[in-house]
Amino acid sequence: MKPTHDIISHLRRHRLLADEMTQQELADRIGVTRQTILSIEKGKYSPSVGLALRLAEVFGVAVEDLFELEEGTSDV
Amino acid sequence: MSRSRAIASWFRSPSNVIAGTLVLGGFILAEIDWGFIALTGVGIFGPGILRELGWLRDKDEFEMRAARRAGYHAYLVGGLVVFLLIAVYRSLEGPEETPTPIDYPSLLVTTIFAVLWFTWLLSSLLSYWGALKSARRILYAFGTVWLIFNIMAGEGNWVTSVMQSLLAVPFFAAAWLGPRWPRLFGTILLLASGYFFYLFGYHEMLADPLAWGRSVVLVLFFGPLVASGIALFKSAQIRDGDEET
Repeated sequence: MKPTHDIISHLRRHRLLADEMTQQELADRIGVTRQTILSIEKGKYSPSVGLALRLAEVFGVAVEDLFELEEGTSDV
Repeated sequence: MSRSRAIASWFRSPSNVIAGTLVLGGFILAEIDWGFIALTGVGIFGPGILRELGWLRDKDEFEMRAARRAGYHAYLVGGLVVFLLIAVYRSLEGPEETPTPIDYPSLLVTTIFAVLWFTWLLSSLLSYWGALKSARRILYAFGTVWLIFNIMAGEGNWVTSVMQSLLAVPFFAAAWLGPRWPRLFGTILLLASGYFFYLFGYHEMLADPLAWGRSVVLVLFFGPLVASGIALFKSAQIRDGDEET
């Protein structure tokens, strides 16, 4: 059995804490599309290290505060 | 991003405008000389090649991932279709004077390209927008194309144009109502595909090699219907409401 890892995103919470910044505003600040932000928030897309660092920089937090590793097991 | 904002954003991108101009220009100039169709190829594939070379950086990593996944899916589907075609038509070969689709390479090439392109487009839409939004966009696009086609087919007679334009209404209705009842409209779209398939006699295509000229229409007409039907079913399974936020 191999362990599987899913990323839990806290991006939405940080965005709302930052004066309710919109997805579009955040997307414009880091140079991606709003759909990318949406997909990260919904956990459908795990960003690259570079993008995660840029997101963390916007909110002035560590990457670990934005993303959390959920570890599980599967029969894959 | 609202639809109008997304459209405006598309037109603000120089690479999209240049590529679109090349695609359209290639098709128009091909009426003069088929050599110009190369422009269309450059317009369709050029931007992707430049992005892979790192010379064009107009897409973010999520968009690039969707495009690359779609490329792999197109490779898998296109490859399988090629081998199925070879298997079917080599086994159908009869007396030498009997033509088979293999005797018409341009038809085969166009069909395979249509399969490749459509698979790529559908996969990239699903990866980027998700099932529900993809189904809606396919239906809106398909309805718009039908609307334009039918208005032009009216040849200036506005009564005919209006009457024929009504054929596009079911697609807009499905795009609007489909997300509310995805299983119902998914079923309707798939049943409609099957009905039109037999109505237009496509089931006879295997036995009639010369009917292969219609194979591109087969992909581009039934493809959107089947794709949006499947996408609606998929969205019904997901049902998490994420895509509308």
